[in-house]
Amino acid sequence: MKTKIATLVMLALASMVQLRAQEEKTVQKSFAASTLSINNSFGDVDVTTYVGSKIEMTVVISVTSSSKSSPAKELDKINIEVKEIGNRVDVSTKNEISNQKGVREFRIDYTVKMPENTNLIVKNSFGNTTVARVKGTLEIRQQHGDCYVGEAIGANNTIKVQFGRLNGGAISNADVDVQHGNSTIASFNNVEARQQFGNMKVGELQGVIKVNASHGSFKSDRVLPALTRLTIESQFGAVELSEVPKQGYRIDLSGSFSTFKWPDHMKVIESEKEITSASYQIQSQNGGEKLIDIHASHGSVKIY
Amino acid sequence: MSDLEKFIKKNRDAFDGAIPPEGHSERFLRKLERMEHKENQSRQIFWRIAAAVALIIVAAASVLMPNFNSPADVQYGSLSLGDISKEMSDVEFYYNSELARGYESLLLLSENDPEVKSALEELDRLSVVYKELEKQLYESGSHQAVITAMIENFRMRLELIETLEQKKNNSNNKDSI
Repeated sequence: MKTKIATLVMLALASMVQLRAQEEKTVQKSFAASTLSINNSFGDVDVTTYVGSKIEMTVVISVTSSSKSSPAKELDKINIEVKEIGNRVDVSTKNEISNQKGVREFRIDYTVKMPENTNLIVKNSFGNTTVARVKGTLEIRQQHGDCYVGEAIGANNTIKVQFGRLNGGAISNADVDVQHGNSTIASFNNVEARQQFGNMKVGELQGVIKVNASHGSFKSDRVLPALTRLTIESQFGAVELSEVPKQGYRIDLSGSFSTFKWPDHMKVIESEKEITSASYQIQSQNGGEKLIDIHASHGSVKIY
Repeated sequence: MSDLEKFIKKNRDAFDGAIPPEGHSERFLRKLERMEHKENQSRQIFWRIAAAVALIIVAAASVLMPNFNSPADVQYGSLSLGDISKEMSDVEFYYNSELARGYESLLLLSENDPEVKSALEELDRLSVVYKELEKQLYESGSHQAVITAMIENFRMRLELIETLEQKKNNSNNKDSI
């Protein structure tokens, strides 16, 4: 059945391929601002940081058209609008190619080089967003494309991805929301994360972490001693925490229709088990003040 | 009552004495027919002009419409995959029929199963997203990336149903052992 639909989709996509011509234009801008906002669709946004004072931006707009329509004419219908208000620059893509017959392919790709303290707001759809390292406030809203964040270490960050993957390095002080895509992140420090219909894998956890995962798994490779509180709410998925420190932690586990497993070196202080629900309070041998609190529903919890 | 009316009423008999000249009724009827004929003629002219205008509009639309989307699409500001090509229409038909089948089978399970209920809610949300994509397809001038996202949305919904069906079948098998 899957082969049948794959063939059907391939044929449908192949039927749209026609003789094509391509045209492109490049827009270059330079600003001195503390906040940059980019609103784009149908292309990639690639942001790197450097030791400098100006924001340097290059936008490449390219249109590929069938022989029936002129790509040059369509190219004129896509423009970049720039608004500078005080220390903030808002850049957005304006597309007037709507309401026309025939399949279109056009791209608007942003390449930005900015000082790492710049506050960055990116709203992008139908393309990927890559941000290297941001020390300022970072806000990304990504739809129908993947998001790559090297480092988000500013005081207040927001990363929301829908219908795409999130790959990240060090993410701190952030609100992370991923729906219908997997996320792989090197480390979380003071993060509130929500993962739905996809799996989240985080290398290291530290600070205060709150996770809400449903219809997917949440896994972490290592809990650092710098983790003071971890709260996980999981529904219809698995939770796996590896390398939890042997000292200083109390772990509260509870849930319904779920299974729980913890390392042998931890002792059970309290437990209550019903037919469909259970709760356990366990802790390191010498007790602990730091708390890992996991509530699972229709899933499993494994702590190593 | 005016003085004239009073005078006529008072001398009614004197007025009734006059007889209309010969052929008066025929002449009167002919005049009436001519007036009706004129009225009919002007109505016919109106309808002829209206028909000609309608014909011009239809002819112009048949020439110009292929360059735009269908009236329904314009009205709703959205496009379906079926509007793109015959092949895409087949893809849309296939997924819609598979989803309808899967949705029905999940509905039967949803009453007592929170996971199925939650998945059904998500399927509804994904349908709303699909409607948004139809709008975006229209607004983007049928961009390839939106078409891909629409197929991906179909695939996602079907995969959600199939995974759940598989999971429920497996758990049923376990219970029966």
